[in-house]
Amino acid sequence: MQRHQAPDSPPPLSAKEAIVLHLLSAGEPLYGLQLVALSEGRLKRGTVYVTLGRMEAKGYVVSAADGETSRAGTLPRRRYTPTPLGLRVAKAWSTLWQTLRLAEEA
Amino acid sequence: MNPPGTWIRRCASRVLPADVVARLLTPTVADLQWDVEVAGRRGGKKARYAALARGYGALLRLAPVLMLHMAQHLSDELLLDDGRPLRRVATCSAVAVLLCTLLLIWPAYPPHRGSAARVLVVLLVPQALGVALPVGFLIGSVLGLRRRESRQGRTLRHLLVGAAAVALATWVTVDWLTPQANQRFREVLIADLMVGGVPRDVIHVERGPNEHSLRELYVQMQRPQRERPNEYATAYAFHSRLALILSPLAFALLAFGVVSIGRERWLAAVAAISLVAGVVVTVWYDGPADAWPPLLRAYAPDLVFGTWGVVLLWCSVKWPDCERPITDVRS
Repeated sequence: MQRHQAPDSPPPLSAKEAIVLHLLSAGEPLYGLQLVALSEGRLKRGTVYVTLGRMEAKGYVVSAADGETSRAGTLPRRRYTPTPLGLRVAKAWSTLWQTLRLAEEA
Repeated sequence: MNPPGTWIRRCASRVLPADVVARLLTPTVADLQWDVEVAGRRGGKKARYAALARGYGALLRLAPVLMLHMAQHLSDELLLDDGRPLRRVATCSAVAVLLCTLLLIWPAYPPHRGSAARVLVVLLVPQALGVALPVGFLIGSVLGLRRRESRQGRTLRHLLVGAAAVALATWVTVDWLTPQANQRFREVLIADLMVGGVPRDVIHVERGPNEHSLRELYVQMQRPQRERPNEYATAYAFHSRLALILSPLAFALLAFGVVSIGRERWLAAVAAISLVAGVVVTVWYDGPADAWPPLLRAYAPDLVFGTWGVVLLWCSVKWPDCERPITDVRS
């Protein structure tokens, strides 16, 4: 069943998606294994591609197969890059979170 | 030699949608291959094995997600329209027969877990199969024909041929397998529960009506009346088994009738089940068991199912605007 979203609410972003966007927004496109290594245990190898696949479907990231394969027969790895939409969503949620935290402190 | 994970990916590609393979499985396998290769170059054999373990561990973690996608993909394959309804009927029926057999065995599973438990479970299979075959065929027919487009007459003819094949399989089961399995089940159970170490060959249990073949029951029915102490039970066992053999034909009519009705088809199915439940309750439980003639008691469910199917078919022909347009997709 498709979930309906209120027209003015920001696009949804799960905690794992936020971590991925945070890591990707640093600069270089990253492989899945690099994301797992940089996340310090918050992303798990094996399920990281479930998150990345979902984010690709939402339009938050794009991936491209790596051109270089080390030897014949091995599969090319994929590198992930954030899209402008993904970066905007991450920024919007980060701002919202900071606003909420500031309001709580005040 | 193939890089690690190649076979897993190749096998999974057959049962998973292409986008899931590309999005989830291929990157995970690619990581495994890359990790193993780098580890092999830098750290030798031990590091390579560790990388293999990490990679296969990741695949194992991904397995539940892939299984969900596989179940969804297979159910879509089974239930979506592809213009080949009868192949779908066969597949859905096979799955339904398997599930019905398991459901029927489950409550009858022997409570003790002795050495004979496994044998007893195997002996329950033919007993469950006698009922599971016709019921599974009914469920499979309704699911397989659902939302299908095919010429009515041709599909009905093919469905009746399928029903005849299921009836034949039911005949083999209830006439040969079930009586043998019933008798063996009783002998094994009694030997295991009551006499412990006594060899099973020594045990002799008198056969009842359910442990005789149709031919033996028929011979018993032809004997003079004074030699037939259990006349009603014998006649009922004979006719109820014949009714079970014929039931796939009635079920084929019912399934076709239900899917031919465009609107309220589930209402039609519920009405059919309620009708049969009503007949079963009236015939079997309302008053003493032998208050009804064995013939009526045995064949009533088949008659109700078949008649209801014909009524539904007649309605779909009489009021075609109630019926979904059915055309041959290949014409």
